[in-house]
Amino acid sequence: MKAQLFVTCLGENLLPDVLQKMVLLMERLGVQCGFPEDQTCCGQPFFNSGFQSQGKEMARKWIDAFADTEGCIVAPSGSCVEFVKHRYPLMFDAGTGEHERAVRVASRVMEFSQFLVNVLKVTDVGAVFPHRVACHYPCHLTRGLGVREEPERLLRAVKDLQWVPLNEADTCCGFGGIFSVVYPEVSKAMMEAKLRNVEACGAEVVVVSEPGCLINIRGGLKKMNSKVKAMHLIEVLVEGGTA
Amino acid sequence: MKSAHPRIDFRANTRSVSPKIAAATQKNAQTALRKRAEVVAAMGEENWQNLRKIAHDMRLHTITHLDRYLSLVEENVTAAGGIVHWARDAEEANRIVLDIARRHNVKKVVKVKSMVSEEIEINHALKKQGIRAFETDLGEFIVQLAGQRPSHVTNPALHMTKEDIADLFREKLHVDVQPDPKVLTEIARERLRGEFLAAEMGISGGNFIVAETGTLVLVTNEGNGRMCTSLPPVHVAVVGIEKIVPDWESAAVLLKLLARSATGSKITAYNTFITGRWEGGPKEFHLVLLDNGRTRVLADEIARETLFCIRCGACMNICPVYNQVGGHAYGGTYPGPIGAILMPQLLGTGVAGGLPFASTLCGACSEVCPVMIPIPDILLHLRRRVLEGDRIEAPTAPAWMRAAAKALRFVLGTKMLYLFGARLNRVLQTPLRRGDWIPWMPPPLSRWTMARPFPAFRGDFRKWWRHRTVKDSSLQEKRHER
Amino acid sequence: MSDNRTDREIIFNKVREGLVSVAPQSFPMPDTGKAFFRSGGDMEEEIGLLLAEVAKMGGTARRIRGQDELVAALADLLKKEQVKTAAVSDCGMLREQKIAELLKDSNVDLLRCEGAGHNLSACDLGITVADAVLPETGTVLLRTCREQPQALSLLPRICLVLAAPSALQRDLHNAFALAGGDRHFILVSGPSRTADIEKILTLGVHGPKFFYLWVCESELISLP
Repeated sequence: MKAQLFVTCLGENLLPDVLQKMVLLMERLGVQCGFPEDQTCCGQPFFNSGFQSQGKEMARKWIDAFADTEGCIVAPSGSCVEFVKHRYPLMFDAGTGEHERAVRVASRVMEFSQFLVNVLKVTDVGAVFPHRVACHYPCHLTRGLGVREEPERLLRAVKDLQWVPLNEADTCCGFGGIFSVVYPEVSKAMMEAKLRNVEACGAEVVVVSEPGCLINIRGGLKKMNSKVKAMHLIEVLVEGGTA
Repeated sequence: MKSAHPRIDFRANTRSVSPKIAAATQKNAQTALRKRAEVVAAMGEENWQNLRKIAHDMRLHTITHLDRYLSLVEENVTAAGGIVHWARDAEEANRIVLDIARRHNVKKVVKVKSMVSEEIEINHALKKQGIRAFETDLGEFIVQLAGQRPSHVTNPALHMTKEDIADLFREKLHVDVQPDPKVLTEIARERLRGEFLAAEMGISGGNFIVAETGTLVLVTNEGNGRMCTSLPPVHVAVVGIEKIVPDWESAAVLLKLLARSATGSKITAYNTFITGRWEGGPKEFHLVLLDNGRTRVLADEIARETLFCIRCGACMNICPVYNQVGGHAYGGTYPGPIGAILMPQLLGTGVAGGLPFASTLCGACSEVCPVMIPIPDILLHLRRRVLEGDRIEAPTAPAWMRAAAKALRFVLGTKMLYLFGARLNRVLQTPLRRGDWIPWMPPPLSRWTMARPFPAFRGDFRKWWRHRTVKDSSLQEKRHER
Repeated sequence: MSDNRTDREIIFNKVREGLVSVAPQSFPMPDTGKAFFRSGGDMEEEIGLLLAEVAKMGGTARRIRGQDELVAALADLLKKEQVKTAAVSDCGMLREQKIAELLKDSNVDLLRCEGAGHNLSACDLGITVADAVLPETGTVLLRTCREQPQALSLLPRICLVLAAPSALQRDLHNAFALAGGDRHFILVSGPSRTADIEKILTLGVHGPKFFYLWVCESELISLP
């Protein structure tokens, strides 16, 4: 089976080890990965800031990078996938060639846990992770893409992993893209509310399957010198025993 | 449209919010949401979602045929002995109300809670004419005494503790009482009963107007809605033109959704249905139909769904942003997610252009909205209006932002420049980097680092990918050679 | 019709302009059928539900099975709530039951609602007859008419509503089918209340502090 890597701009520049692990895991599961090198950014930061024209131009470039490839397009991010899937088709007038191309790539794009559970039909990847683990539910993954069960199913199949319920798990962590710099005080307050719940739940690790949320929560935990580690789902699945 | 409204600086507002406000807001929200979840579960998820869909489609039908329904309302209210007025804006609405008050020599007005009356600032207009207006909803009575705006659409005084209220009553009403809600409520009851009986005019808003019969619907709990609209000899209702529903079935659908969404009750204590002049009722019934920017909302295909709102407050109850800052931070009549989309449209993006950005686009609001308003979609649409402009308004963001976006887009969209930029970041971060982190970045990026460190830029992936591909292919070559 | 036609024209023009790109028939009225989903249970279940829901709303509901029970219940209520003054609906069925006489016999002053009802502001008890009852939400429909002015259920401190089992309706839609053509009607669900102070529920704000609903067996009370 072939799949194309959609690395995301945040992923590529700030979380390259998550990407490496994603590749290793997918290959182990029999997926032949392609990496369309012309990809840069899907355009979401522009579009969500109100620069829809620039968002559209970025979309054109992204579609060019992926259009002539085969297989599912997989990203370790619900928000980037949701953007391509739901927004790309709306950007181009129905009936045009551009629109058709957008619809085609939109139908191929998937978030990582969606891909594993729904396409590869895998929930147990053979991972071992003997730790207390809680799971944050990123907004675009859950509400945008409707992916609520898949991360939990993958985590619960991990050997020796102790699932710890997290209070207000699907409440926004306060990242919100530009929100974090336009209204930084509110973003900080929301982040702190999330961290209070994380600290209180008694987990050693909090799984955050979204690059934006991950850098937010990981940074926040670092600032408060917390013992809790924030990890991407992929890192837990590939870790193999060490935290 | 109120062009005199000062520009709303959301960030500045949020920086002056006391922790007490966040705590009170969250407490109110949690109670309302918990009770809402219970009654929704009791109804059954499928029934609930069906109701929402029907409500959405009915509202969409109504506002896309609004001229027809406005005519119907006017016809039916008039036939029932009511007098219909039209007000293009707040100023005109106030002029109409004052005119009616003058003709009837009104000295005292009793008011039912009405967001529209806040919007047009009718109390201020009445005061200028020497007419005393008494807010009679307990929460509104309290905030009126305190000289404040309400901070939530259905729970106006949620930002005040019972101690705050006891202090307020002590100061303004000269009563020394324990901070006991029962006692405080009894005081309000006694004070206001006299006003209900003495007032020459009652002013209300309206939750809905049923076009089929020209019926005004008031949804209340305290009994003041009935008092204000039955005891004084003149009743004036000021209602936004979007509050129309076609028929009684539609009214039933919305009533099934409203109380459950707002407070988690199945129904409020009183639902009052008034059609023109009625037996034993006021001598005159006036209906003021208000535009005040609503036609501008209507004109935009995407944003017109803002007009579906039934003012339940569920969106703000669930909003993580609202829960941190409370209602006053939104700087106007309507707070929370609905405020973030309605106010920029009513007041213009020049005044309220910061509000569409007062959201992380988490989407929780759209999940609880009883009429399925796609709030995140409209937020995005209004952000574009601020930065790029659209059919309705020219952009209010400065031109340099568009120029910067173009330049940045060029860099990020051109692979060579993108990779070069990434490498540049890795170099420039060196003096600021501490291991895996950048604890401080210069402004404006210091807005990030003041709350938490930024992760260090790393460029490993493409190198790693190329390296293993080369390794693979060179291994394969070696195998081939053997 | 008001005399500011210019505003009317302005608003209508703006509405039409705003909708000019909407294709006709694009947004039809949906079928509201699925909203009318509540199936009624049998009479006993429905009455049971009604009594429970009224209690949940902070009211008190009971069944009255005969004339003697009605007299006794009324005497209890007058004593418990120290009723000195009362106003009674003039609906035929209440007159038949000689409620007014019963009250007079207990030394309760009977007031007649005058005009909008200002004279009832200090009245203790108001008695009305429900035109319909909705068990799902513990709601009574009171249609305003000369015999039963709306002030009766608003101004007195205590609101007592009598209902016949035949008044039970399945759903809100039924109540509207009955009263939708009226000039004025109310749906009352329990006593007046508020949670405006710290979300703490307080019963009795501006409207009645107490709400009683008595479901009286068919022989006692019948609907017109």
